[in-house]
Amino acid sequence: MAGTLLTRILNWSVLILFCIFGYYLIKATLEEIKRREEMEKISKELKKAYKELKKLDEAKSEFISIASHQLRTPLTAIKGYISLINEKIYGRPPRRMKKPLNNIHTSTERLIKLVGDLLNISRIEAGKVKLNIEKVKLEDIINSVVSELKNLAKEKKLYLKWEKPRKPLPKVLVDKDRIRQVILNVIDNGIRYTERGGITIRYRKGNKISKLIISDTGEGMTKKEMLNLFRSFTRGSIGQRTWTEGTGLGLYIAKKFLDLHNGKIWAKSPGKGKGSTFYIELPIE
Amino acid sequence: MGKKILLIEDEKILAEMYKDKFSKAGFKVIVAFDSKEGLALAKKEEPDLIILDILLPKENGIEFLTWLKMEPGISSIPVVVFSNYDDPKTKKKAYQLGVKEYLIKANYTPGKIVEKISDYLK
Repeated sequence: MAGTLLTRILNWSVLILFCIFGYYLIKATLEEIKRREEMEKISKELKKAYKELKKLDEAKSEFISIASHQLRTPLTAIKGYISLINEKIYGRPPRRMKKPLNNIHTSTERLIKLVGDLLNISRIEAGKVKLNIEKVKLEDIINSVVSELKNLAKEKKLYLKWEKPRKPLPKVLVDKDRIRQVILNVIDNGIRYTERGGITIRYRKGNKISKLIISDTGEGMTKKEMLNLFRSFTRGSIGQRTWTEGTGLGLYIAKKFLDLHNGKIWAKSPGKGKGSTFYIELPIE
Repeated sequence: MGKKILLIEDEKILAEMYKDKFSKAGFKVIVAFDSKEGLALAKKEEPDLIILDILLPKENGIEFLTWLKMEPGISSIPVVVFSNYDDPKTKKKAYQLGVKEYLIKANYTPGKIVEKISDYLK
């Protein structure tokens, strides 16, 4: 009799425990389903938001490309016609026009450079710089930069000397447009901050690296200025004092482009008034 | 007679400017203002080289390149893209379609571009 009662109590206890367990199991399952539904909803919303952001990002990139195109087109016409007038294609311009024409030319070049810098910065900041790597002759890039900047140096009565080694330079695997931009920005910077003397470009071959050494006889830098040299919107004190020309983006762009190539850039200066030397290192392979 | 160049350029001021310079340098220059006109003139005139803008009215320069590749008689004419549209995707596509170079107009004076084109035609 006692055994039967005990069995009954045990059965009931098991049943009650089973019910309680079942209740919590069902409750937990329902909560889990609800949580999953919410997660799915959030995930769908996130996917939608991501798609919209991606679309906006693409639209922004396209807008920047189109806007820079629209800005460059009239500048191309001004630059082109000034050069044709200077080449006397429409007859000899009066002598007194020479200086104003040169001034228009210089201003146009500044604007073209600014548009290019802003386009590069927007791509760098968005992480959208894609390199078009190919095997190129470094000397071709240097020759083209020197040819482009020789007039700018001449206008300031500065020398621009490229001490080309006798042996051909090894080929480098780079995006030639970006590396051209790097070298151009560094030399252009040198011309900008030099009032007397000039700029010398040298080449040294290291262990699996190509090194360009660009020295100027310009303003030089303090240690503090050197620390901020490769940050965006930074100009030397001379820049802040007398020039409005530099955007302060050139060296920042140069560093970012070199980072993408696993290259290096750094600068040295013995101090104010003693010139600066910039070093650019590129892996040969 | 100098070499024949087809310039596909919708900006009339720029087209006129480049035509002046190329003509002075001894080239024969034909100008088209959109891709369709460009293709028709390429077939008719069979130029030695095509200078192509990218942002053109209606069909753009990339579409022109695609059409050109499908025209057996003229598909081998060298093309140099000359545009202020500096877009990496477009640039890549243009190279895939066989252009010799993709140059940014604002970086070149007409004199410099004549030098470049003369080098290609040597």
